[in-house]
Amino acid sequence: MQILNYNFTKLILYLVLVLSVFILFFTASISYRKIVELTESEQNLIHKHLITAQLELLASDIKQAESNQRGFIITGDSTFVQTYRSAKNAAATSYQNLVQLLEKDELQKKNLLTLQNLQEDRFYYLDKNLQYSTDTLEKKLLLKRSMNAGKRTMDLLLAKINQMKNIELSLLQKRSKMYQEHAELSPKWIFISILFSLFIFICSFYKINRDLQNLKKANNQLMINKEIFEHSEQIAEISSWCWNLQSDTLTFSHNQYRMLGCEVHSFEPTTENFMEFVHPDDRHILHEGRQKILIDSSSTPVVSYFRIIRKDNNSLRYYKSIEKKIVDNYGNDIVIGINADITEQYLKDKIIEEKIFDLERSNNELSAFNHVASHDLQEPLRKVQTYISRIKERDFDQLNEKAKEYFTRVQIAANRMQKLIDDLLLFSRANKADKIFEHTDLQEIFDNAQVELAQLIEEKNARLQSTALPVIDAIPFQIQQLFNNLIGNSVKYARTHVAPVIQVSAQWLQADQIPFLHHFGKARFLELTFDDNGIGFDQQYADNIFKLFHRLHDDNSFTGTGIGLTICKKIVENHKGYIKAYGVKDQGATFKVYLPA
Amino acid sequence: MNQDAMHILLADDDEDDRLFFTDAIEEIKVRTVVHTVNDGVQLMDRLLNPEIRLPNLIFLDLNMPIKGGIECLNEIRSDKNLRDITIAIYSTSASQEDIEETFVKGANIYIKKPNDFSELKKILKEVISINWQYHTSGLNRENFLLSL
Repeated sequence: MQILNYNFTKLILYLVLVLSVFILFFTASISYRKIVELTESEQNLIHKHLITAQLELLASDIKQAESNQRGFIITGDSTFVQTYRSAKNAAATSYQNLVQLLEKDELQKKNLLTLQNLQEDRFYYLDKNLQYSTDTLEKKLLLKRSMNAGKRTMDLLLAKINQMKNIELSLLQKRSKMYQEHAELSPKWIFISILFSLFIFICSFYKINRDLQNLKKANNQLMINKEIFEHSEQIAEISSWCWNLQSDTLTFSHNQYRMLGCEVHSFEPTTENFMEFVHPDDRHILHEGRQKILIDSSSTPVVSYFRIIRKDNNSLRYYKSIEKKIVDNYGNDIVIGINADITEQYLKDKIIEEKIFDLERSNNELSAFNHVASHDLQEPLRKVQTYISRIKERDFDQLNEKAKEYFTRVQIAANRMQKLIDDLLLFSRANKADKIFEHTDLQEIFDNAQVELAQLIEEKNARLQSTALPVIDAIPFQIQQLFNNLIGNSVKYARTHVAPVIQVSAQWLQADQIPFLHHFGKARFLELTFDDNGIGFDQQYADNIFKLFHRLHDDNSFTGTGIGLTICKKIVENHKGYIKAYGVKDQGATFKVYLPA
Repeated sequence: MNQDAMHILLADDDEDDRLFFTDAIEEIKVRTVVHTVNDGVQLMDRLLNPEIRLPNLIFLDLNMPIKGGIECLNEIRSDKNLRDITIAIYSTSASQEDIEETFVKGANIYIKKPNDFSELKKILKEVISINWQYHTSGLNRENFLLSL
């Protein structure tokens, strides 16, 4: 799962936001300025046009007045006078309009003053002309003069108007050029900044989208993990809770409710409500754990064990709880806890504990029995034997024949009992757990066995042979016992008139070469073979041979106790090995011991 | 009695064993003075009684009521007047633990009570005839357990 670097993303988002706001602001202000400029230019143009139009209107009004004055002079019709008056008024209005339009133009204002004088002059002459429009000669002469003067004024007036028009026109051309420049520049600016904004927005969109995708992926993984977690909790019979110390809010995992025998979210997750389920005798354990975790500044987990009572079936459950304090991404102190229902384990442990207790008790009984066997049983027996030996030494000859025979039988029985006790002690020693493995030289063990059995070997005229025997890790005195018993048996159970020949050999084998051990595969085993030419046994009894007190020969000529081979089996088992017996009646027996490397 | 005779003290709670012991000593015809006590308490009382001559050799049974042989061994070896007395452990058991423990605690020899009277005589003869002053210096685990 990809972990997002949220801090980095946050920084980028802030940067983009600031940049975008800046660019938008910039673009907006530029556009606003451009539009304002455009409007101004446009108004300027209109203004100039208005001035020009007004100037032309003024000229035309004056011309109108002139033409009406002429009409009156020629026709004498007084209606012309009337229209002349209205034309004059119109000219005055036009002039007033011009004054308003040119309020801010100092140069044109001066021109306007000149224009006003010329206009007044012109109307002065025109008014004069109207008065001179009678047929008297004197008046005609005056009229002629006045008309000439008027004509000159008129020419000057028109020239002034033209001059003013030209000024406006040149201004208009200048403005128009500026306007055009503005109009050309503004869209470019706006277009570029919009493109740039667009670019940034696309980038931001891409980035946000990608983060969103990652977030979605992470969310998805989180959801899967949550499912896994829930599932695991149910299978493992554990639950979790989380306690925010800042906001003092507690949340339980779904399984917490189930483990308490409730429906999910069936009660408010609070400490008090949880305590209701805790066995009254154990509530203090939870309180103490709480105190410990609140006081402790380190985040060492606090483990506590307590019991709860399930709501659904009132059964007692054993809980193990592990609490730990952590700090979350917002800097809040949070206590997280895991509750595990360990009832099954607890009960199993209890059973095992009981069994161990029983086992220990029976072990103690066994060692008490050992003590009884080694001391209390031996003591009277030894005395019996000692008294027998004293009688035999001093008073045997005084007995009659029958008594002598019985007495000898008593001695044999006592000796046999002695042997049984000795063997039983050996057996219990083989059971005891002094299992210290050491390097053990089997050749040395074989030689020791020969020394120990020397008397018997001599008696039976036995011959012992061995191949080279290795050094292995074993319990030395037990392996010695094994050799003594097996070789001793072979010497003891010899055929009458056949000197025993005993062959001991060893070889390393792989488990898959040994029929009943093939499941160990490539593991190595040492195969020890003890082969003799003695009385052997029927193979069908091979498995009984290792049973305690089990004897294959009830013949009194063989003095076995039925314990020796049981001890052998025990010793081999102590070494995690196997022992097998193969016999052919009246031909010999072979014992094979397999010891793991 | 003869001043040169060896003074032997047997501590054993078993009447039969005490009988075997005194009979055997009598029969081997070595100049000895034998005393017997029935348990560890009697043994220590006797040893700590200044009016009674200390024995040259103590035969000590391990399993005795009230005060056992190991306890007596400890007390004898930690008493500066008694520590030089030769002690032969004389027990029914020949368990490895007992042999090891008595050796470590300073017994001189370990005798497993035999089940044959003639063997008992042989053993006692052997033990009594050992020159203990010489023997003690060569004391080791191998020859601690007496075997004939």
